[in-house]
Amino acid sequence: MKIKDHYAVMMVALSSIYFVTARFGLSLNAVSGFATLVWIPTGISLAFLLVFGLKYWPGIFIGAFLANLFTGAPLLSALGIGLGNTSEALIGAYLLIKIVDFKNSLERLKDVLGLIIIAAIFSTLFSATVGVASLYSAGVISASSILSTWTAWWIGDTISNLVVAPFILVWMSSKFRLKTSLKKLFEAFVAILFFSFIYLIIFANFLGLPAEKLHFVYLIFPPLTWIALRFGQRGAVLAILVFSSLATLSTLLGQGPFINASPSENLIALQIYMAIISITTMILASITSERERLSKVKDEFISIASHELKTPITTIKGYNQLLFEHLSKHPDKKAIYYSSKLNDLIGYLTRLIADFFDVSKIQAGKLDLQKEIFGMDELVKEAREDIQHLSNVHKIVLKGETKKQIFADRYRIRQVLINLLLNAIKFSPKANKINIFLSSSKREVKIEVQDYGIGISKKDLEKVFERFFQANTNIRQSVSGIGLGLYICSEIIKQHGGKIWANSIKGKGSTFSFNIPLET
Amino acid sequence: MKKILVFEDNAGIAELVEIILKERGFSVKTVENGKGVLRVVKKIKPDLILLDILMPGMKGQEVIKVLKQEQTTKNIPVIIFSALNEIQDIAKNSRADDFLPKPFDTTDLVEIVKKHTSS
Repeated sequence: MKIKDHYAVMMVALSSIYFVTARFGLSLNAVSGFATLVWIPTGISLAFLLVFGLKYWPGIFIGAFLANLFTGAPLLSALGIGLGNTSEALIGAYLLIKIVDFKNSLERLKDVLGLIIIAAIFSTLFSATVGVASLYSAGVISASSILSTWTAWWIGDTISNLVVAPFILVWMSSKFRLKTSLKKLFEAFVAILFFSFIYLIIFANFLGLPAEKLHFVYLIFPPLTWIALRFGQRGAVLAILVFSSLATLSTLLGQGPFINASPSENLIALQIYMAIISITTMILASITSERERLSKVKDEFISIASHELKTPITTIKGYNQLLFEHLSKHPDKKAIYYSSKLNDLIGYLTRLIADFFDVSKIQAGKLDLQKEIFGMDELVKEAREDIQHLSNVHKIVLKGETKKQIFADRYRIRQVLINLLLNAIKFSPKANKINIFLSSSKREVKIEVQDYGIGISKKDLEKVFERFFQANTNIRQSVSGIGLGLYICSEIIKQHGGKIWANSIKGKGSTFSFNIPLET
Repeated sequence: MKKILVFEDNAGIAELVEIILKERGFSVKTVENGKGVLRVVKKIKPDLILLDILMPGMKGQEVIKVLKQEQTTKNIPVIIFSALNEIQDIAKNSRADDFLPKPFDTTDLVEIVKKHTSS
């Protein structure tokens, strides 16, 4: 049995932690002796209930009751304060679970907003109000100090739920993995240096800059933004906790920008500062996580969708080919024609799905090239033959050779060439010839595909490689494109360090060319 | 007569592959789930295995690993076929002898099977 399965042990642990942190908090500059500006136990209580379960609430009550009793509160007041502190954590945790379906990792915006509004701002009202009422009715505080005590109490609890609770929640919500890349480790190191440097400027007269000036306080946002964007919510809440602790410590020691007014005013200014830092950084980190997750979900969806679409196409294609073979043995010209049309369309559909997949990969920056060394002549011959099968109207003529080996992604280069050839066929319905020119220099190999088709207007020529671009044509086609093919081609060639371009004369034909550098 | 063992959970594709290969004179046995692959292979002793890498009850890459470690099955060529876009990578990273992306041409299927059974 694990420790966390023992109700009593967990409860004693919670009340002890509460007691110790509460005594520590009360020893620091308490307003009216009880309301303190650094109230760690609130955040711990909330996090404890959210991580281990609401059933541990009595632990909070015992801890709070004893801590206040030992600080000198009358018995009834201590009971009242204990009740207030317990209801704060219980109401906060309960509402978070009920209303936002709270996830401790704080990786969704609604979790962060829930924590801010429900836990930090709302539930803390109970503790402050019940606690101050208890003290007042027992005559511990006078009517004149009700407001200042209440304010200090409420802000102290709010900050705790914004700084302490998130740290515990996030770091307890997933297993800590030490495995990380050296690059990331280095980045973390630089970020920590930057962060420390800014802290020293704001709070420690670093470089002789006057630390008591308020305008330096904004400097903390660049490092925190960096951490939130690159190290997620874990990095964010850790940085918030460390910075808040250091800032509080410096202020208590009389250093930094929050030392010019009365002690409690100084601390309130500091706390508002910490609250704003915590809120903005956590929101930023959660949005970053959401965006990353969204893009992952999108990738997965496209991957699954393309797999699921291809499965039935496999069957349709196969049966159609069987039908075609069967018909060829029992000649029926019309049926053979219909079947071959079907085959073209299935081919088109397959390419379309592959195109969608490629575009999603390109957009995500994940078009990984699988480079190998191969001969360009064979590749071009192979592609020519494959496409020649598809057209009995056009004769595809290969001119020139290179005898060069290139280091590139064979599959992708072939895809580019096939795409250009299919376009050449598609856009030259009345011509009967397509040329492929193959040449090379010391630095590159060049392939050109020339057709004698409808051509492209000058205006459109600039845009043919853009995503979803389609030139206006009058060709009536059984299938029309969606403007992805050339975009994918240009991305593939770009990633190889090559260039792709087009020349065309409207009505005379087009030539699409690309080159691939020979790697030295 | 060469014996081809096909692991394919999609009934439509399984039947199709069976028809195509039987017409070309292969003997075909189809298994529609991935349980106990090694046992099935040892029992049937095929000349070639066509393996859909995504099947309920198994992970294609692991099946290949098991087959290639076993003395009696390691020399049987394994061709993976799948509609997964990453099939080429998977073939490279596993010990599959060849791969066939779906959708395939009947001629490609026949060629690849012939190529690996002729030697």
